[in-house]
Amino acid sequence: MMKIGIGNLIVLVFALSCVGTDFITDPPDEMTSMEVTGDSRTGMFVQKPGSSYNVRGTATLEKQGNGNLMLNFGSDFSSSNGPGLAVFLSTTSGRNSGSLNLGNLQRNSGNQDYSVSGNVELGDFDWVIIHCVPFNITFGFAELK
Amino acid sequence: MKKCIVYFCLLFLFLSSANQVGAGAWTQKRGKGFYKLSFRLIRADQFYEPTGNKIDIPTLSDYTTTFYGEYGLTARLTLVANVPMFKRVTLNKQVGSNSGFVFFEGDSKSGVADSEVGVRLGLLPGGSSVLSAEILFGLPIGDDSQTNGLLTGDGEFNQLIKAQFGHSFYPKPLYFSGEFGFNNRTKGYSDEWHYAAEIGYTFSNKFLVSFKLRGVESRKNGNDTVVGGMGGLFANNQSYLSYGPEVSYIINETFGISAGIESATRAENVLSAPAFSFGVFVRR
Repeated sequence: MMKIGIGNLIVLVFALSCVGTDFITDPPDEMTSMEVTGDSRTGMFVQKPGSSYNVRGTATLEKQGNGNLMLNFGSDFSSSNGPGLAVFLSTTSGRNSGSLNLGNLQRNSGNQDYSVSGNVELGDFDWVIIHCVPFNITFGFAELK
Repeated sequence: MKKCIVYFCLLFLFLSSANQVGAGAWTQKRGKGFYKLSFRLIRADQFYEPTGNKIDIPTLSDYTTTFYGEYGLTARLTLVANVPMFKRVTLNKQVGSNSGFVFFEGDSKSGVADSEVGVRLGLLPGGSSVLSAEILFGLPIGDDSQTNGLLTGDGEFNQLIKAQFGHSFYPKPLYFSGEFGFNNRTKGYSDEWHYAAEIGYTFSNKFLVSFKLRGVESRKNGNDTVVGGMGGLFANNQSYLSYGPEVSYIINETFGISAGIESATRAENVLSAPAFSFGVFVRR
């Protein structure tokens, strides 16, 4: 009888605990492609104002010999840890629907490279952001100059 | 009169044990036990950041069904077990309200969670005041590797040592208990100070109303790169002070039911939402 009771309880918990949906306000998406002279753009990561999380170091977006872009974090790079951290190229200092996901953050410090696939130009995105995807929190960003 | 005193003592034992990981200094008699099956629900859309700032997050829900038991091995030594035998954590899907763009697909994790087993030793048992020492071992049987931080465990073997004090104000149907402890954590997690206090009053020999305070202070001496999930029970460097009432209804000398609510304040690395709990307990 106890077994049946516990079983029913577990079924009830499952029934009550389906994954729901949150509708969030869309962050601004400013798609403006700018003319860039040279083969690379660089920025320094800064902490998002008011945030508890910190990202530091250099980000460099560079055009390769084959015309593709590569994003590099310098040896001075470091980031707070968190679940589901990913690297984005974005038109703003936050993630929006037009942001380009370059994949999970490889590690929390040190030199690392991210290849940019698709038809992306050096001037398409002005920001590199480190974003906690599951909890929708931007840890830090670098503005590319 | 004797029956009345025995019943009153039982009420104290019920109440002192009812709050699971809360304050409870009394030991069980040899061969006797207290067992509780409880369900706890937290649904939060805000989170206390490491600095204590409160921020909005997607809705995270935590549903935990826990077995708690105490069994008297001897008159002074009680076996204690706290087993969250089924935990389900969900994180909502996130969709742009205008664009319809899916920012996150949503995720969930279910299973047994990290458990605690240990013993409570009555140093000064009996009388109106009791003093006990307790050691609990954290068994890492939950999952500490879920990609999106929906963890049911921390993957580390911790040891929580506590000193506990209890006082009965008999013949007034009132008691107080408190405890202070140190949680030694491993694998880069910060150690913690634990403390709790609880006061309870019995109405009409049937309704036990208690109010409890419970606090955790991280020593922040661990590895900063250890996160341990986000918002759930297993985050690293958590600190908080929680408080709330619990009401128990004593059906008879063997069975009872309880309901409680608990909120956190002055918190770091924890969810910002009340926790609701319901339980059925047995003493035999």
